[in-house]
Amino acid sequence: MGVARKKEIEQLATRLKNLEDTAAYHKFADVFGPRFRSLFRSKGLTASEAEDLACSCITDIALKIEKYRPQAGGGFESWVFKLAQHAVADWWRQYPIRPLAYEEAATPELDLARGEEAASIREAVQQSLKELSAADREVIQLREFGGLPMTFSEIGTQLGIQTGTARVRYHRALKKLAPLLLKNPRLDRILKRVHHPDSRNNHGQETTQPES
Amino acid sequence: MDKKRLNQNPEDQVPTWLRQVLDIAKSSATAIGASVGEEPASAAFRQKCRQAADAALSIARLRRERQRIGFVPISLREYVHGLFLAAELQASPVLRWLGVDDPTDLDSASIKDWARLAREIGMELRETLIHARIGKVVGQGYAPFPMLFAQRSPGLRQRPIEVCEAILRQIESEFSPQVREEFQGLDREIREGYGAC
Repeated sequence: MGVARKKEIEQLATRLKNLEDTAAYHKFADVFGPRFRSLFRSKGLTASEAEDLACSCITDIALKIEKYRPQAGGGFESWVFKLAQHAVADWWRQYPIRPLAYEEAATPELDLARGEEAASIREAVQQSLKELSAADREVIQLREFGGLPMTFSEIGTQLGIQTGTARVRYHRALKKLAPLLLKNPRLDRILKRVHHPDSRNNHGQETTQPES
Repeated sequence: MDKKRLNQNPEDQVPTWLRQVLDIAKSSATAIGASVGEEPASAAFRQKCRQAADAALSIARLRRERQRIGFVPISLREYVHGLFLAAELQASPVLRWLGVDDPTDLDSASIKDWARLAREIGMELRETLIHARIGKVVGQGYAPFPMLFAQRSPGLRQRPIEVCEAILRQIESEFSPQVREEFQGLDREIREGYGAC
């Protein structure tokens, strides 16, 4: 960020303390709203959740402006984002977290029709694939994401390996992909929804059962 | 052949959740490999951000007005309405922030919403409870509370808030168990609005 821009942001903090300066409040919303949303999306919230939390942060942080001390270090922008980080941490605390194993993260009730959820899943897969080795990523991409997904025989031909080796390599790559997906905050929340108290039926039982 | 082998070897079974996740991702294969760019902010979202800022400004102004006015022995409804009027503010930005269904009608807010607002504008829980209890007493056939307050306050060295509590204790001791139960419900809702439950 340029010096002029940083100075402008710092001045915004002073302006927000003047309750007659409506334009300062609007500027605060314009500058930080979209950035909050990007931050929250990167922390695994869906688009609508990120927008709701961004709006909530605009109000809550603006109301705390009297507590901002310029000499505290880091400047206004850093102070604002520290509060936004706290907000998203609080948001995640609403959900019970426990590690899920490769076999048990059953999601038979996953609502595949929800576009927003599908987008989160796509992004989670995309991010997790990037963490695999090139060889593992390649075999999954050939099998799952080619224009026309390949058979193991075709993968073997393409990679110059036996069909059986292609199959084994694919399944080993999936076993490496799975924990990466389970660690991904975007997907983590969707998968754990089946274990959340809200997903329980009137008899206090989970509406879905983990696979054995 | 491959499918048959998959079924034969348990190690080759792909868990249902992973199969679903891959199928969803596959359903939009063009998205895979594309970077997750920053989504442009829609006009609707920008508008919501500005409304959120308007809510902050209104609450901050209410807070300032409340500091100027201080405690007045009237009901919570009268007090909050009065603050909006004294500060010359529209209620809608604040009601939207509270998540009230009808942001044009201050009275459509629940007691819990009002308590949340009271906390946000700097009213102590004790004071808010007194305002709410005064509101309940108003409906029980007593003289207007400011008159009861005026009757008791001359000559007393107590703070106004303590005078009000003394009056309320006396009045409430005459209530039936049913009315007392209503009061307890009110007390609980307000404490919930303050996050004190």
